[in-house]
Amino acid sequence: MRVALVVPCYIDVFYPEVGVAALELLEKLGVEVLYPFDQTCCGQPMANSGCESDARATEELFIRNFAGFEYIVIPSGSCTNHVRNKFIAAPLSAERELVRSHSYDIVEFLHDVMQVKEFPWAEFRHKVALHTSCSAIRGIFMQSMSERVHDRKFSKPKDLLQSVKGIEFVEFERPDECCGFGGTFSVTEEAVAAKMGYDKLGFIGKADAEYIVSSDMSCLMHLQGCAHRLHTDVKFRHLVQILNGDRE
Amino acid sequence: MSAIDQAANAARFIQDRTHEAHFDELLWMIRQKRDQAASQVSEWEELRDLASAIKEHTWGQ
Repeated sequence: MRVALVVPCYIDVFYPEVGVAALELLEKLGVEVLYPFDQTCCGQPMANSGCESDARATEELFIRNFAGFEYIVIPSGSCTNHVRNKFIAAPLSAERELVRSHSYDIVEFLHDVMQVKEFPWAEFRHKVALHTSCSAIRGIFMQSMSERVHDRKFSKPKDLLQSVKGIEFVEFERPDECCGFGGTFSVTEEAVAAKMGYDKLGFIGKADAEYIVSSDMSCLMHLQGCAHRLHTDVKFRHLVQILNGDRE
Repeated sequence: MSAIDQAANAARFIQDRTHEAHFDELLWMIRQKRDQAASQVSEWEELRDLASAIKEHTWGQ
């Protein structure tokens, strides 16, 4: 199987080890991974801020890099949500629609496309709080929504992590509330974003987790900033780092 | 009328920890009551969809 890997811009710049882990994990699973080197950003920061015309060139570049691939794999629910559901700054074209319909969050790709049931090399003997982003839950339906009380309960990221040896999940209050990041929201609404992050850390802190794990590094980036200011020693890992075999 | 500076007002509100915490608890209590009510109405999501459709229709007039 052949895929094109997207390494989201903020992962490339701030957490390159997460991009490396995504690549290594896919290769361990026997996937042929191509990495278009001209890739930059999916356009989400501009588009989410209402700067649609400013997002156009970025989306067009993304389309040039990724149109034609059967599987475009992205280790980020929010970028996947943008590309699949909100990718309209670039004008309508067959290529744009191909990119939109062939993009997968890496969790969806592993869970739904490859249907991976185990990661024999993975072992993580720690108490983990699993945080799934708003975009992943409500944009691409990677996990059931607590507000939809009649829906069947499910969590694709948890399904994948559950097979990791030694992992222990902790339950915490308001598990699917937003962490407060929201992209440029954390810039324009700094006080609200920070308070939401502190609240999230408070609930997770009460549950005594050693690690906060997510398939969205942007949530973790925000929470890491909040944790730093609170002098909290909780640690952060992207889901692919654990599935790839990181022990710490 | 001058524009409302939502971000600055929010920052001021959040500084008052007691008030903000009470407000947060109150809102969450409403959410829990809402979930409780929703769980007793099997066609809850269908009703929400209908309500959305009414809103869309009205906006379109």
